[in-house]
Amino acid sequence: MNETGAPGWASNYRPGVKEDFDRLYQVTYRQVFGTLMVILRNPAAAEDATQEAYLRAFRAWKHWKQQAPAEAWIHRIALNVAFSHRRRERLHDVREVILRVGRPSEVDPTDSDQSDLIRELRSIPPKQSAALIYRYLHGFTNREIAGVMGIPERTVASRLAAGKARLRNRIELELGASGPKRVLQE
Amino acid sequence: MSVETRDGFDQLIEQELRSHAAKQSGQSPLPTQARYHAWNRQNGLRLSVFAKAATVVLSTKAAVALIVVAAAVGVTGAEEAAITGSINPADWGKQLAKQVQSCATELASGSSSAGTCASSFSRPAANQAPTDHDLTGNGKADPTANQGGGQDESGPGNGPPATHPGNGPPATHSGNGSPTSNPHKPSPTPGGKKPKTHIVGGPFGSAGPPTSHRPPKPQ
Repeated sequence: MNETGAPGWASNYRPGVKEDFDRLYQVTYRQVFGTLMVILRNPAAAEDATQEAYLRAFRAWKHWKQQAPAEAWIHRIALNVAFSHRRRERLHDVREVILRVGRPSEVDPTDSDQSDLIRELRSIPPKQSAALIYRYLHGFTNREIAGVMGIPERTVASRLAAGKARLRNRIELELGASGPKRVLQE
Repeated sequence: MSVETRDGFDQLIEQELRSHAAKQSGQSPLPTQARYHAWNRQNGLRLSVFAKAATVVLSTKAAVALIVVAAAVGVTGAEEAAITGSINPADWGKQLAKQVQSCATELASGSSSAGTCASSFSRPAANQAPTDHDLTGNGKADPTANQGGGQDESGPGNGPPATHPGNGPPATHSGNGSPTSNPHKPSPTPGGKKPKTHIVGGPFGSAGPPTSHRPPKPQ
């Protein structure tokens, strides 16, 4: 156990050592990619952002301070990359909307195989969705999420609550009283 | 706070997220396939070129520094050998100790000052030249030696004449007033005509009798 309490984060990495970074890559890749897969729109964007995050982390690897777990550090870098990526995506979306005024919108083929909840999760503020992903996909505690996102635990709790409420509202609005409402009321 | 009651919505979020992740995520790729690995290979290669260049520059500088140090040590050793007349550094120390003792003895008897005694040992070559011209025998040039009209602006007889073009000929000469030991100095004309290159000094600076060969004035 380390100071964040994460059971898998008791690793002894040495800053600047490439072999240790390779190990960190292998240990954390799936988690990082899974997180970015939900935050971003499609697998290609998630893969690109993940590789970009590891490249940034590798460039700064010799400056990594051992007080913070390397896993939390890499997650935080990946989140920053993903948020930047998402801002660009939104700008691109606005541009597309302006360009196609009066024409039917094109359907994103990657959207078809995604559930309503995943789509709605992308529509809430990214910091709230990131907190929800760490909690429900990776099972992180508030403390671990606080370590990853660099925020106090109280902020994590409020983001989780706000994100969940917003998501619930959106699903209820989008889907009406038929399908998921039954699930939501269970 | 972190302890929350899990309702159906929590389970729904968890279930949806995990099924989505299971569909998308495969195996972790090898680090050799990662972008940072390619970057490291390129950057590492460039660094090694810089490192080689830096090594070459540093080794050149180190070699030059070694040569300079060796030359300095050699020159110092040669000076010491010239002063002491021995190439053995141990003899230098012995001779110095001997000189210090004799200086102390002279100092006690009051015959000489400590500075003069010590410098006579450390710089015998520098003391040699004025001694040749010293007619009074006290290590100083005769201040009246330039009375024939050529007053040296650099001071009365305080250095070897060879270094002063207008201050008379060097120490060795033929006795007829014409210097022979300085090849750079233009040979004076028989009529005593002053060469144009002589800026300071009187007739003795070019054709006059050397100061060291003038008879001492009667006191």
